[in-house]
Amino acid sequence: MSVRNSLLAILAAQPTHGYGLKARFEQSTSGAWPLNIGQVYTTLARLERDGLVEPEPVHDEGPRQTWRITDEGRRQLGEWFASPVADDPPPRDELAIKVLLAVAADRHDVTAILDRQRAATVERLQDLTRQKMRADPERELPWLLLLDALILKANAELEWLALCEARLSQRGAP
Amino acid sequence: MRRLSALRALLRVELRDALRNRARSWLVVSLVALGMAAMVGGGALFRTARATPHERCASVLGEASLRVRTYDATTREPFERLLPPGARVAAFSERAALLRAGSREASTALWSFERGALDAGGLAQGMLRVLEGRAPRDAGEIALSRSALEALGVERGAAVDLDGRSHAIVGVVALPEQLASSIALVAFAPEQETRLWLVHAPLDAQARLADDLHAAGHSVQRRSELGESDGFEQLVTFVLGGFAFFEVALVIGAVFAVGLRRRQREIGLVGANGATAGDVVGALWLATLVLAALGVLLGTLLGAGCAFALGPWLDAWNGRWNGAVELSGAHIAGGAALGLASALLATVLPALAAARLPIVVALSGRRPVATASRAWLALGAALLGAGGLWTALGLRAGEFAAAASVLGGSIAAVLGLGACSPWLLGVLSRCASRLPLAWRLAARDAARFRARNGPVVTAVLAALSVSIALASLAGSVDELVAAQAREVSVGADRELVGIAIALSAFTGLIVVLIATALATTESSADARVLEAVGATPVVLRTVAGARAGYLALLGALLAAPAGLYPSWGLVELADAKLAFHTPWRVLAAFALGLPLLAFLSAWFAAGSASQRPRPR
Amino acid sequence: MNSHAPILELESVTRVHGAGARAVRALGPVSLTVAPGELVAIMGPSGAGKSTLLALAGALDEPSEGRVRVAGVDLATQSRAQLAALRRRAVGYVFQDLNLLPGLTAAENVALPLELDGLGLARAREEAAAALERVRLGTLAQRFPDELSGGEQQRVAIARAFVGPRKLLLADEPTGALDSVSGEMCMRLLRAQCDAGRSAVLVTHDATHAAWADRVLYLRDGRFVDAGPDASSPAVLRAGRSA
Ligand SMILES: Nc1ncnc2c1ncn2[C@@H]1O[C@H](COP(=O)(O)OP(=O)(O)O)[C@@H](O)[C@H]1O
Ligand SMILES: [Mg+2]
Repeated sequence: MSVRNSLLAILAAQPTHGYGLKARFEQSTSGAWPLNIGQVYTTLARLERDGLVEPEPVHDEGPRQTWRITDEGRRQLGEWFASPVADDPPPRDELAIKVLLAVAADRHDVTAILDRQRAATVERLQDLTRQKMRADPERELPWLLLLDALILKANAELEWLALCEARLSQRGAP
Repeated sequence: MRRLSALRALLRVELRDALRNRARSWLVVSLVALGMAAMVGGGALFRTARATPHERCASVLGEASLRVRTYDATTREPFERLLPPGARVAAFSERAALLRAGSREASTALWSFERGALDAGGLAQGMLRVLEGRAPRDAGEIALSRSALEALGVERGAAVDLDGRSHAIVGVVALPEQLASSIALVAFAPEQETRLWLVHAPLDAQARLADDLHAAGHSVQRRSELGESDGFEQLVTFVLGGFAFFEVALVIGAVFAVGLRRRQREIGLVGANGATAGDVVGALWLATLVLAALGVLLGTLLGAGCAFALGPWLDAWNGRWNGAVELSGAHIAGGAALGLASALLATVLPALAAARLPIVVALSGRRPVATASRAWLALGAALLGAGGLWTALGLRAGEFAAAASVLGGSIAAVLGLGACSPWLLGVLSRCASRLPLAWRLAARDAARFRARNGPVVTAVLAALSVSIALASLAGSVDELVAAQAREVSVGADRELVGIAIALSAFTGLIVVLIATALATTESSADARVLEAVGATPVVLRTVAGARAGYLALLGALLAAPAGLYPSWGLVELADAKLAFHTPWRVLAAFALGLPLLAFLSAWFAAGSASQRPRPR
Repeated sequence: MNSHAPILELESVTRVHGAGARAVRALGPVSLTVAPGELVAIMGPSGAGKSTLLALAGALDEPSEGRVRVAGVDLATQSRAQLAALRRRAVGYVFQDLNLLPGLTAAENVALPLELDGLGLARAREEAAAALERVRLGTLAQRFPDELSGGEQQRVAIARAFVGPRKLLLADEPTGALDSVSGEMCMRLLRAQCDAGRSAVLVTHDATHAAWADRVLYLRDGRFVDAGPDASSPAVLRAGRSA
C-alpha cells in the first residue's frame, strides 16, 4: 500500500519524526487523504522491521524520535517511482456492483438509479470544478493536479453511466 | 443606412471569397468577357464587312441621285437638255473588252468616267476605287483590277493591248463591292458617246425627273429606291449578342449554383448573425456586378483588339472594299447592359434559393428536400405548350406577328426543353444500371447535380439548336436555288452560315467542357475513392470523358427538335415554294461528333489534372 | 427591462418535424428560464433534441407549440426582419466548428453582427477589439481563421457571440473538437463572461465542461430528466452543497 512508500518518499528528503510525517503527507496531497497518527506509527514499525528506516541517535533537544531512510529503503523507493501503478484486480466499486446487480435482477428502475447517480456525480463534479476555479495555478499546483485527477475520475463515472443508459435503451428497442 | 453598412460587410465577404476562388471568378469574368468580345468584335467586323446602305448606293450610282441608261448613245449636250436647271450630270461607260499582254488575254469590264467624276466631290465617287497609282488621264493609259493583272501576268508600269492599241498601266483599281471582278478603267474621251449617266438633281425635282425620263423610254435607278434602313444590322448583332449572353447566363448560373451550394454553411452563419435574406442577395448581386463589370471591360478591349487585328484580312475574305474597322457605341453600350444583366439574372435563382434556405438547414449542410425537378418539369411542359400554341396562332396572323411568334415560340421551346432536362436527367439515371461503370457514373452524377446540369444542358441545347435551324434554312434556300437555277450571289452568305454553324457548335462544346470541369472539381472526392479502390488512370479519364460526352449527347439530341422547329415555322411562313429541309449531315455530326469531341477533350484534360502532385 | 428579468424563457416549447403519420417530435414540451449572469449546461444522448432547443432559443427555428422569449420579447410576435435584428443584437451562436467566415479576419468576424446592424466601421472595429481583448486574443485580431488554432477560433466565436450589446450566448458543443486544455480555456472564458453579467446556454457531451455551469440539465427523448425525489425542482440538478 502506498502509505509505506509515501512515508519513505518524505523521509528520503530529510529525517522527520512521526507528527512531522503526518503533516508533510497531508500537505503534499492537499489533505485529500487524512492520516491518523496511529497509522503512521504502525507503518514506521513495519518499515523498521523490514530494514527500510532506522531511528536516528537520540539528541538532547526533545523527547521525539526522529526517523531516517536506509540504503535499502532508498532502493525500494526508487523501484516504486519507476514502476507504473496497476489496479489489478480492480478495486471493488460499489456503484458498478449496484448497477450490475440491478441489471441482473432485471429491476425496472435501473434508469432511475442511473439518473440519481448521475445527478449526484454531476454535483460532485461541479463542486470540484468550483474549487479548481478558485485555485491559484502558481502556488497550488499539486492541489490543482489532484483536482484534475478527481474531476476526470468523476467524469469517467459519468461516461460509464451514459454508456449504461445507451446499452440499456438498445436492449429495450431491438 | 443599416442596409448599406450590412451590404458593405457582406460585399467584403463575397469579394474575399472571389479572391480565394480565383479559378471560379476568372471563369465568370471570362465568360462575360467572351460574350462581350463577341458582341463588340463581331459587331464591328459585321458592320465593317457589310455594305451599309450608303456604300451599297455608292457602288451603283456614286453620290448621284439618279443613274440613267438612255435609249441611244449620245454626247453630253443632248442629254443635258432633258434635265431641269440646277442639275449636275456626269457621263460614264461600261462595256466588255478583251485585253492582251503577249500571248495572254483577259476579258474585262471596261469602265470610263468623265474627268473628275471619281474624285472627292464628284458624282461617281465610291463607284470605283483607285487602290494604287492613279486613274488614267490620257488615251494611252489604263488601270486594271488585281484579278485582271494576274490573268495577264503583268504589273503596274507594264503595257497591255486594248483594241489593237498599247496602253500603259498607271494604276490598280477595283469595284468596292466586287474586289475580285476583272475590270479595267480608261480615260473618258471628250465628246465620247455613251448611254450611261449619273445625275444629281434637287430633292424636290427628282421624282418628276425620273418619271419624265422613264416616260421618254430611258431606264432610271433612283437612290431612294436603293436605300433601305440600317436596322437589320443592329438587329442581327443584338439577336446574336443576346443569344451569346443567354448562353453566358446559363453557364454562370451553373457556376453560381455550385459555388453557393459549397458555401451553404457560410451563408447560414451570416444568417445566424442577423443578416436578412435581402442583405445576402444584395451582396451576392453586387459581387457579381463587380465581376461582370470586369468582364465587360476586358471583353470590350478584347473584342475591339480582335476586330482591328482581323480588319486587314476582311477584304480578302468577303471580296469587297470594307474600309476602316468601325466600332459601334451602340454595340458596346448594349453589350455592357446585356453582360451585366445576364450575370445578374444568372445569380437570381441560386442567390434567392441560398438566402431563403432556413438557417438551421443551411448550417447543418443538408440539402433541402428536392421537389424542384417536378416543378421544373411542369414549367417546361407549360413553356412547350405555350410556345406551340403561340406559333400555331401566330402563323395565321400578319407577317410581323408571325415572325415574332416563330421566334418567341422557338425560344419558349428551347427554355421548355431545358426546364424539362433536370427531370429527364433523373429518369435517365434510373435506367442507367446496365451501362458500363463510367457511363453509369456519368448518368448518376448528372442526375445528382441536376440543379447545375439543367442550365448546362439548356445552354448546349440552345447553342446547337441555332446551328440546326440555320443549317435547315440554308438547305431549304439551296434547294430552291437549284430548282430555279437562278443567278443569286449566295457565296458569302453560305460562308457566313457555315461559320455561324461552326461557332455555335463550338459554343456548345465549350459549355460542355466548362460543365465537366466543374463536375470534376466537385467530384474530386469521388475520384479519390475510385483511385483508392484501384481504378487505373485510364478508368478515371474515361469517367471524366463519359461525364462530358453524356451531357453533350443529351444536349445534341434535345437540340434537334428545338432547332428544326423554328426552321419549319419560317419555311411555312416565308414562301410557298420553299420546302422544309432536314439537315441530316449536321444532325449526325452533332449527335455523334460533338459527344465524341467532348469525350476526348475531357479525357485528355483529366489526364493533365490527375498528374498534379497530391498532398500525401 | 430590469436587470433581473430572465434573458431567456422557454414555456412548454415543442418542436415537431413533419406532419401526420411521419411526424417526429424532436423536442418538448420543455420549459427553461435563464437569468442574467447564469451559465446553463445541457447534456444528453445524441438525438435528444439539444440542438433543436438551441435553435429555438436563438430564433433560428420556430416552435410547433409554446412560447420563446428572449430579453422579454416573444419571438412569435416578431417579423422576419425583427428576428434578424434580434440575432444581430441579442443572441450569439457558437457551433462545434467552422464558426468563422474564412474570408474575414478575426476582428472582422467579431465585428460582423455590428456591421450588419449598421454600426459605423470605426465603432464596430473598436467594439470588436474590446471583445477580443476579453477573450485575451487582442494580438491575433488581424489573423484569418486559417491562421488560428481550433481553440483560438472558438474563442473568436465566443468574442463574437458577446460583442457589443449581445447578452446571450448559445453554444452547441463548442468544445467538441478541442483538446482538453483548449476546451478548459474556453470554459474559463465563458465562465468569466457569465460572472460579468452575460448569460449562456451550453450544449455539451463533456461533463467536465458542463461542470463549469451554474446548472446542468439532462435532456432525454426531448424532455428534461427528473433527477429524482431529492432534486429541488424537476429537471434541475442543484449544485452548491459542498462536501
Ligand atoms: N429536419 C428534421 N426533420 C426530421 N427530424 C429531425 C430534423 N431535425 C432534427 N430531427 C430529429 O430531431 C431529433 C433531435 O435532433 P437534435 O436536436 O439535432 O439532437 P441533438 O442535438 O440532441 O443530438 C433527432 O431525433 C433528429 O432525428
Ligand atoms: Mg446536436
